[in-house]
Amino acid sequence: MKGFAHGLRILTVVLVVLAFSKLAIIDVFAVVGESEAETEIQKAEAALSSAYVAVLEAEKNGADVSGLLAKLSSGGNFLAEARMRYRNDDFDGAVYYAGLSVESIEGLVGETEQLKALAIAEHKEGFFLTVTGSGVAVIVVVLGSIGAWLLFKRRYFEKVLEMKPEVVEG
Amino acid sequence: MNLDEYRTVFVASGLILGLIVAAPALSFYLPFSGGSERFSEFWLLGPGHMAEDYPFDVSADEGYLVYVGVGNHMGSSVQYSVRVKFRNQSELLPNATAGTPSPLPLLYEYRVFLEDGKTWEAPLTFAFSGVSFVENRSLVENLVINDYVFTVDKLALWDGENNGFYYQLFVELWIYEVASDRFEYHNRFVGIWLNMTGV
Repeated sequence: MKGFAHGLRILTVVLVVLAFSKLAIIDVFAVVGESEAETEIQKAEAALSSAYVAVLEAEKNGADVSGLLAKLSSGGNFLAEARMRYRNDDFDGAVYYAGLSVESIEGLVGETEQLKALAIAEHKEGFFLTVTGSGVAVIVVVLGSIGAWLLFKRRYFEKVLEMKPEVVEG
Repeated sequence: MNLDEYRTVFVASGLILGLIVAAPALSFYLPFSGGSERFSEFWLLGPGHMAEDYPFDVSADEGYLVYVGVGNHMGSSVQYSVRVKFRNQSELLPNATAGTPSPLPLLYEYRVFLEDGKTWEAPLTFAFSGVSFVENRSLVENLVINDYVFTVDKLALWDGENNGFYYQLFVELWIYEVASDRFEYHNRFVGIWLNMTGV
């Protein structure tokens, strides 16, 4: 009987320990879920920010970024969804949508670089054509002005020489 | 006119013409600033896309619709965060003088990337659930925004002057600042008053 009571006591202790350790395990998993979700959201946020900065840089160089902005908007909407789910303690959902956000802007930085390079090349070409065209036009204007002036001066002198002095009676 | 005066006219005309034809090339070296003011538009429209027929008398389990919109005139593409918040009469709105947002937590968020000169508009549907009235107080437990349920547990006291239990649904505009690498309040908000009338 004494042995049975002892066994029961041990069983109770084991059950209590198990129950606590289970709670602890669940708690640890919950914390991991939350921190993982936060990490994924921050990763997605950083990816979106750097893609946005790259798009701004391309835009400054004259690239047409409307297509890139549409992709960024899609990524932004997924990220907003991830943040809302995170605030509502839906960490699985948060991780899922943060992943979708990163996926939707994958390759965007490379695409941006290509557009930027294209825009810079177009700008250089435009610059060369404009400066050359303007330079030629300025030379034409200067030479034309000098020519017109010389012609005008010759006509002016001819006209002056053709004039007859007017005699005024005193 | 004598010859010297004619020469002055020729030189002046030549210079003006020269400047005109050189202008395209000069524009690469002398950036002409537009000088126009940079700003963002922000609006809230009723269900018919007009500034009328806004929801006012509201009750539980009924759906309501408004449209929120942004216009970018900031001179380049911008990333906006449009943040929906909900308050009762005693809670703080954004402070326009200090340029600070409302301290209330954001519920729903739209992320918008907008090119300069472009506008964006999206529907904002909302409904209430868990509404109860006790004496001179009303309680809204849940606010549903675009099918997303938010627990708000918001109390409103009876407003004897305006005869109603008043809440405000408002939307703040935030802008992403590249230099600080974060969103900052853009000192713009729009909102509508709602009178909770029934369960």
